[in-house]
Amino acid sequence: MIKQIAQALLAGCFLMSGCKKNDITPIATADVNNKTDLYPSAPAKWFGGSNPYYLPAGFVGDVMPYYANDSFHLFYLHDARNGAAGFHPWNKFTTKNLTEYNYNGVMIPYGSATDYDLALGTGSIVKVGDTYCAYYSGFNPNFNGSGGKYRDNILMATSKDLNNWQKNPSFLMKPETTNGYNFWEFRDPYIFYNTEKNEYWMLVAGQKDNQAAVMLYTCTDPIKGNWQLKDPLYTTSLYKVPETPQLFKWGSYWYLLFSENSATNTTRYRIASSSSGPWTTPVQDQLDGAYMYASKIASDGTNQYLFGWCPTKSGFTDMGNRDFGGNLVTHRLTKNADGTLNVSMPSSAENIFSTQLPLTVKLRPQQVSLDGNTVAFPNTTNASYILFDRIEGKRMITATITDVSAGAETGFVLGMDPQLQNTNFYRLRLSTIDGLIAGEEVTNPKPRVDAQLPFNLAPGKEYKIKLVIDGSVCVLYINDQTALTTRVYSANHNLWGLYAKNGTVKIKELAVKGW
Amino acid sequence: MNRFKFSLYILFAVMSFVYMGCRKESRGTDLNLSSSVDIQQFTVGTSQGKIDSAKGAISINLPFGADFTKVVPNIALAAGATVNPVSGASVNLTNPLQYRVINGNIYKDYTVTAKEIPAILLFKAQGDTGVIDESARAIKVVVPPGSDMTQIKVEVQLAAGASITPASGTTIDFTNPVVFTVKTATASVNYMVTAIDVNADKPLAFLGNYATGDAITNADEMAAYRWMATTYPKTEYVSLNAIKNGTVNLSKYSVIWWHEDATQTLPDIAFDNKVVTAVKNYRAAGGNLLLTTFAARWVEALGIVPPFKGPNNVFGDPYGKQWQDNNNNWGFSINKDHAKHPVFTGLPLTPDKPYPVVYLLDKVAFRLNHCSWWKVNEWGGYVDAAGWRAQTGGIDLAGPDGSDNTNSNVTIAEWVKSNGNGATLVITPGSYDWFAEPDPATGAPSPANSYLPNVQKLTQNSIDYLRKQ
Repeated sequence: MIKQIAQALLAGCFLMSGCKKNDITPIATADVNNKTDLYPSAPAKWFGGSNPYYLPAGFVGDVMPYYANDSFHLFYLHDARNGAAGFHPWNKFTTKNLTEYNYNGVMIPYGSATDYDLALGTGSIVKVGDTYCAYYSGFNPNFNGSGGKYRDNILMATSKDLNNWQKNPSFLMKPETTNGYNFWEFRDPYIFYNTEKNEYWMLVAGQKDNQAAVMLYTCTDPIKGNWQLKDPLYTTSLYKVPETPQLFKWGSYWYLLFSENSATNTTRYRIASSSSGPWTTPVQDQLDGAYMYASKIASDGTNQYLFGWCPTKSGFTDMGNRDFGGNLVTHRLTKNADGTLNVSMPSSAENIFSTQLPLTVKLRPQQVSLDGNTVAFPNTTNASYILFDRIEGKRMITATITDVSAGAETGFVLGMDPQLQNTNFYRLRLSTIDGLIAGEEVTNPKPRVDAQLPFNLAPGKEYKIKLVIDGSVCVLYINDQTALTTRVYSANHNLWGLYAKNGTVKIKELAVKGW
Repeated sequence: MNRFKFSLYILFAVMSFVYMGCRKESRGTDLNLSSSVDIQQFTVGTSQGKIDSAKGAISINLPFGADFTKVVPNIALAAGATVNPVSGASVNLTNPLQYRVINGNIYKDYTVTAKEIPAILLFKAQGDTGVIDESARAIKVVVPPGSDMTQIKVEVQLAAGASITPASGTTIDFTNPVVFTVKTATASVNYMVTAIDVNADKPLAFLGNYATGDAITNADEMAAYRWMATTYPKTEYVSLNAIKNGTVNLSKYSVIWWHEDATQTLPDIAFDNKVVTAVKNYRAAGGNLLLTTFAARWVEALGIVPPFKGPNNVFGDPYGKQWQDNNNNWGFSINKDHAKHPVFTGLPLTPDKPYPVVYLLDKVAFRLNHCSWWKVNEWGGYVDAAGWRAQTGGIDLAGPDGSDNTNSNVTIAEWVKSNGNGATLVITPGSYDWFAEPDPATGAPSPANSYLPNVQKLTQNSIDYLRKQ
């Protein structure tokens, strides 16, 4: 019976997803997904057999990817949003192909109000011998340093199979309280074996001397946990805390990733030829915008992937504010000769969009038409729109932007109604003027930008575009180099379109594909 | 089916219904890509819009006085077309407004721009043409320098059928802005008309030997500058260095005020050839100068007085040596021949003197007694006030507070506008003090100078007088 209730609610809620303009009662599980979602979040699940628990739905927070046994084990902070005092247990998805995900439920639960892990934070997994060792952040807001109990600590659990975990009650790593370290900012341990130094390293997000600091500890045996503090690996005054740091060796380069929630709310990277730096900041150091956070790299030995989460918005509406937690999003990474990184769509995900769908024009300007698969926008100051039939389900829209004149702006519009509303829709904007791509809700008096990153649309060049829409997660890929993830609740069930203004733009090879 | 199950199905059905409601149209319309999206006619009352279909632009002239925030256009379209905003809907045409015509699967945007048919075609005062701001219903007209603002003659050209009150050809007191009412058959509209002397419309300069106004270090000068900038928002700080470098065009200023309190001897740059030439040229082109305290000495370098006829009694104490009088308030006596001079307007005369004296400095306030006046009967060969006037070319507007005439000292003087030269005023007594220094013994702030408002009023009168020259 309870299962039936869940299924009925779930089905109703699922249909609600994407509904924007006419929502009366927002449903808090709008993004409940199933294992065939490209960008999954935790579904409600009834565990049968020896694990007879009902697990409510939730959202994906910081992802801790680990590849083993032909699968990505995607541990993440499970954001249940149920008002419980404890929160963010480590839950897990596994996937072999980045298109089908198995939901494995809770891996490491949170503790009680008197434990150091009333809430869990990010950590990472390292294999030592036949033992998997998970270091994780423990957070208890009841502790403030009095009695030697601090809010932020690092804890440890072990497992032999990546599924059954035992907390190690004897391990406790307290925050640094001297030498300029801020004990209120001490989290997100990342552990790996440094082949350059022949020792284990642990990076921790913190602050030293009022600067954001990637703290560094080293040890010879993570099981014993005899970590020694070293000088910070990286410090910067640009951001508050370098959250969820990761150090990753790829070819001849070392990559330091961290996420900052003080300037742009996004993941950035640095490059060095040694694990200890010095660190070079690429001209464009963002791996995505503000709607892909706490991203980390994992490799299956062949390809490198970036795993992060796309936030939901409060009220599950396009004008809502960025929440903690959302959906798992995966990009592929490639690198250039100079070490800089490209962000692209995993080929397995691209291949799954195999059904060519008709391109049906629903509204076009008098002077603009679809000629085969090409739309040529004439030079107009005001925006011109061409709208196509509504998006129903998972879609990949591909196109090539070309013949862009200086000063022009172009892009996609989502959530359109057949009367072509002037505001209250979503726009993915590429511009020759401001050197940015942006996802923004078009409202009066000016658009609200959700996510953006540097990208220069240059006249005379061609841009291969893939726009992936799954539920309310939209990812724009450009030239297999750049990705911008956004959250657009109105994308589904409404018309979509192309637009151009302040110049001429041609969009050719336009196609829409479904699963 | 038990009751609970039933309610679940209802819930599911309602949710599904809501889901249908979020679709933005019903499905199944046949594509129509060949229909007309032209606006064929756009009218507001009897006004006919001019339609440029190629540009998607419509311009329409609305009657004088029409409420642009509530315009109701009637729009004719081809069969099957719809327009948003719809025909007959009240719209705001204060700014250009976009109309969107949709017919089948084609749309076209039109930008509608409405203009008011003006009633006032031309507004002149004292022969000068005013600037009409229809959106503010305001007219500003700049009249020739020295115009008697109480006797301004206006001439107005109106559109047919319009009338105006006061009538064209009337002579009007423009001391304050005047409301004119324009009437047509359908509207009555008030305009606020402001007439400004061309000099009063220009910015004012506060001169100093500092890079910027904020860099002024002398407390007396800073107090004067801040008061001026507050009292006259068009005040601009000008450095002597900027004049020397030629980076400032002095001709835009109606008045330049230099209040030099820091040094008894004017800084070298005040005698720099480029600076002196620039200020002389400014004055020769009708520019007006207010020179106070030690800056009064500049009249000699600028050739306003003959050589050696500048202030001949320049003195004062250095900072740290400030003191209180404790017995007498200080001020100046008004030369009775110039009692009606505008610089003295509204200044209160002290009742404790048998002749007209205006106090500027309270006896309790600490002062440095910075003075740069003329000794008349003792030094310089002037003998008396008449001799001073003859030898300096100036007008002795005021003497010291201890005398009812200017035979002993000249404290405030004017060199009037003549031969194209602008006017110059100097204010020189030690009582002209903008800042009471702290008690040197304790560092405590000085008791306030209760006569500071008179300092301000005297200065304001002087600036207002000069800018009208």
